[in-house]
Amino acid sequence: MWIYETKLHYPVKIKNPNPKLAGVIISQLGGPDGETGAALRYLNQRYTMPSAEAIGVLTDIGSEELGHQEMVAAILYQLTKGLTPAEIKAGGFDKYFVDHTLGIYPTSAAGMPYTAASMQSKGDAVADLMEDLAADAAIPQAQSLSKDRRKPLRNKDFSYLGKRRNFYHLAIT
Amino acid sequence: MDKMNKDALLQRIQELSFAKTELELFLDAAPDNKQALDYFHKTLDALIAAKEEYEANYGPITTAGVSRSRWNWIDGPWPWQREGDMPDPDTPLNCRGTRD
Repeated sequence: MWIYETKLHYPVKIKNPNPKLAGVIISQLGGPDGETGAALRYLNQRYTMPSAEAIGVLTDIGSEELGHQEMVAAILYQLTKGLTPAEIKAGGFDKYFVDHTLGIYPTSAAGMPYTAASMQSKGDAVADLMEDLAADAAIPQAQSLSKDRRKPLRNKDFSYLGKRRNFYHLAIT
Repeated sequence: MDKMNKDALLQRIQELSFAKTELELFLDAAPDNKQALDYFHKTLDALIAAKEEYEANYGPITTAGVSRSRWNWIDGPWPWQREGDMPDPDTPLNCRGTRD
């Protein structure tokens, strides 16, 4: 089970509210590859993993993702605190606001509420770990919209996995 | 050690906790790595000491650190809030269910 520590994993101190940025970052909370999805994937896939190491990794990463979810929610809370209706409209945040006001609701930037339909837990270790790679590798793509323009990962970036026994070792031991 | 102020101490706790989390994940996949295990325990000892100092002076981090004289667990600010963000219970709710 889980213990809550009343601190963020990493501090969040937003200087200026910004509804336009909030409208994009919301996907990191409730989008298909956001932190909610990451936590639910790892924490649900761990039960059927075939090795103690894999169960440990998924349990601990999944728990950490809950902490990430909290950080993203804190970012959204601070980005939208005290906004006036005019600022909300000007920032394109009005479509979210009409259904949620300034409440934190896990949805994608395009307005699709978080759904487990965007994740999979198949009880097959290799399939599940590949699912995790697909989701986590997509995060750099989302991050490239922000100032930190990290390159999205491509298939060739994963070629090292074929050479490393450890990855399959985790799945098939 | 001089008493650190609240923000500096909380930052130190966050740094140590971050390192501890990374070590946990590493050790999950490399459980026989003695060097990593020793580093984990060194980090954990420093983290426990920092948490004890924080809870003695500034407030609980988990409910295990709650005061014996009052339920200070719900005192603000909560981690996502800034100073002064806690809702004032004496201000009535407006029609949107908020107090601003």
